[in-house]
Amino acid sequence: MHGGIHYKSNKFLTFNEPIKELSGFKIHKFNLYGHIGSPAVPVVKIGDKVKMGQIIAIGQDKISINIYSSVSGKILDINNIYIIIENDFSDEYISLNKLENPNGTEILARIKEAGIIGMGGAGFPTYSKYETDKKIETLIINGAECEDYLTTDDLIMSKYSAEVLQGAILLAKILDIKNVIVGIEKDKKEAIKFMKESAKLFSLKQNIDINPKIIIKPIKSKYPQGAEKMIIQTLTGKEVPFNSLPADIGIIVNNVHTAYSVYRAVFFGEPCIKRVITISGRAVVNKGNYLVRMGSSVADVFCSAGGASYNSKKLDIYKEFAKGRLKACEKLANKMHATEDLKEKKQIEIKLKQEIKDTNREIYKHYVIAVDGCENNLVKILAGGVFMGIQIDEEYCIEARTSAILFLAESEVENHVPTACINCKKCAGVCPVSIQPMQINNYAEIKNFEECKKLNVMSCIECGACSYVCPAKIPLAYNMKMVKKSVKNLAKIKNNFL
Amino acid sequence: MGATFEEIKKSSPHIKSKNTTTQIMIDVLLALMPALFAGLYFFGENAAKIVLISVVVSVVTELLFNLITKKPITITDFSAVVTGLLFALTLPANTPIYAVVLGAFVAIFVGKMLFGGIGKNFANPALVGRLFVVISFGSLLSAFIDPIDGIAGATPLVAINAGDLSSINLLNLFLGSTGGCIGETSTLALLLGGIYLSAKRIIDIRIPLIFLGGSAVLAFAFSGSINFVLPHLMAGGLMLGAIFMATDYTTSPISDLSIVIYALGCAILTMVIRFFGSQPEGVSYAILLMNLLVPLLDKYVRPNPYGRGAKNE
Repeated sequence: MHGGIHYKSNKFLTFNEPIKELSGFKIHKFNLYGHIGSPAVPVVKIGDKVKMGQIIAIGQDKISINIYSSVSGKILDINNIYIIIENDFSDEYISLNKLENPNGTEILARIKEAGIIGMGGAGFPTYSKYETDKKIETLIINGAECEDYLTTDDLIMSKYSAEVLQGAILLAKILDIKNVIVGIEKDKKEAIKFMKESAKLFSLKQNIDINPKIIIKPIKSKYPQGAEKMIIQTLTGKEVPFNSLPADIGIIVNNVHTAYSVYRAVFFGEPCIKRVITISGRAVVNKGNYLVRMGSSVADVFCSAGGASYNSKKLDIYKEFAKGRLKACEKLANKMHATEDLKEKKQIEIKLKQEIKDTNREIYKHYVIAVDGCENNLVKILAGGVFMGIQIDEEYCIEARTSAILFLAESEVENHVPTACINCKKCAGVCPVSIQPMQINNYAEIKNFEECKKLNVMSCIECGACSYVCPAKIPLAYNMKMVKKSVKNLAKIKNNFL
Repeated sequence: MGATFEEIKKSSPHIKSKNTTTQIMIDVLLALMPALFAGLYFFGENAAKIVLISVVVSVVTELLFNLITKKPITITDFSAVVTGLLFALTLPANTPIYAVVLGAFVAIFVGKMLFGGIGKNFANPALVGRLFVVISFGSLLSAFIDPIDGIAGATPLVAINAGDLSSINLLNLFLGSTGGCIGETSTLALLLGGIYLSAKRIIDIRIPLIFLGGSAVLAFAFSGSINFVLPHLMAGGLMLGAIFMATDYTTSPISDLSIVIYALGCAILTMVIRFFGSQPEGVSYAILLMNLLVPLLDKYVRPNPYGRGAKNE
């Protein structure tokens, strides 16, 4: 991989936390658009009773997925985007039938039926990757997890290494793939150890002729090593040609959690209704890795994870206290001015001076208590990682492609006003696809999008490394995204005129 | 690009590195401190005056330009201070003050602000200032004060060019107790600064390495004797130019191949001018000429983006 960046990792906040289950939330919202492809179509009506694991929406068109309820309860509302279900907390569960020794076609059908999508964050329907007529030589299981704060895949690989490899073997069976490579970033020492042990057991047990060869390959920890194009380049040396799919060069990439979900779907009949996410960020008390049901709201998850690290109510209480004390001083001062008698005036003046001294001391004491920990005040909520995640609010509901919810405090985000580009070319130096963001930026400023296209802006994978490293704090990644949109529109306009 | 600050705050990535433009400029200033102290130590009061005036004129020129053109004030990023200091370091200690003032003004006004300020200069501003001074007041600059005995005389570089190595003391060249411009005499001080900047990843170390390496090879080739290599590397402005001028951001190229071409070009031009040109020193011209070539290099020598290998649509 060309370029890439090192960052000071915050994974230490959660990488030792065992997976805990979070459930018991009243309202679950299921996003009909929570994946790449056409939206799912509801097959239930308002007021219907549903069980956990029951299908509530069906995928349409070539690329889409089925959606299942993750709780038992009643359909509260259906609108254009969401199906809202009220939990009755009975957890009545119906599963798909368990498959014992499925062949490739049956596995593919089960993946499609269970509504599994790419759980690394992309949200691409998994079955769609396997509906290809190309010959696939290599299945890459992506355990890189290069984003900061995220430890989901780390935990899954440590705890469920056998299951992940089983899932990989099932996936490989669909298209008779001979080689499985699991890429894991070197800093995940536990995960590498467990995966290597499991891989060894599998190679002892299996028949070399019919089952794929499994290799566990530790790779350098660098962002964005876990991006699909980048991990293919690192593990196989091949580059995915522009505007092509990995399948065109005989490779398919799946995330470790996806492989785990495939295992659950085939052998346990479990549709895509639960997933492990990382809850982190200094603004939440109980950071860790949690097994949550799809559709849980961020507000519920936040409360279950202990809520806010810093209580901003303390500041409000302090302000009230300070106001009250200052008012008392003011009253005394007014009394002093109102008094005519000089002796009484002198007495009140002495009292006032003492009162002011006491007030200042008390206010300062309360101020110190009020701001203690305020650097952990919640300022930003993200779905995903800090490099490519999106900013959300408490209404957001967990989808299958949500790998983490980050509650970031003031000390963890920074907002600099952009200054002039100094042409340091650091952005070009870190770009994993070897394009030059600052040159593209210059042409974008004068709206010359033809030149931007010639400078290969469409190769941009929107990883954000350029914005991260820019000393002038220019929002390069954001600009690249906007330029890509403009270039796409250019093509549309051109086609309309031809 | 038309995005509001609010939209930018919401966009990914949500963390950034701690590095800022001002921090980079301050680091460059720190890296120049050893060379500055060496210059002040060897050349005393004159050097101090030149440095001070150069920095003040540079900053004031940029500030006036900001105010008159009604653009945001940019002097707080310290880049004008860096240019002022670098320009002063390329001058001999007995340069008349009016030449310093005019040179610093031209460096900032013509070399930088007229073309759009920081990041838009077409050549290294300090070298633009020096070129102006050399062309306009060249005769005044040829007399260099030897710091040890205070007598004006020829610099080591002139002696080397004449083929005379007898007066060359390698240790003096390394430490800086020889004649020359304020900032270029002490190889040791410059190397310290260069190591600091490389460690902090502020300069691309390939540029000085290839520049100096290429110069060493050519010094050997053109002179026919290995005894000329170290003197050529340490005399004159080669160290200062290779470490602090050729590595200027705006005027150095992007791709790996371009950087090699650029640094080799600097080395070749420097040595050719030194050996076959009428000027004793070729570094300023070499770097300026290669600066002008950089846009061409950036246009035609580009790295292959991912996935676009040999095939092209």
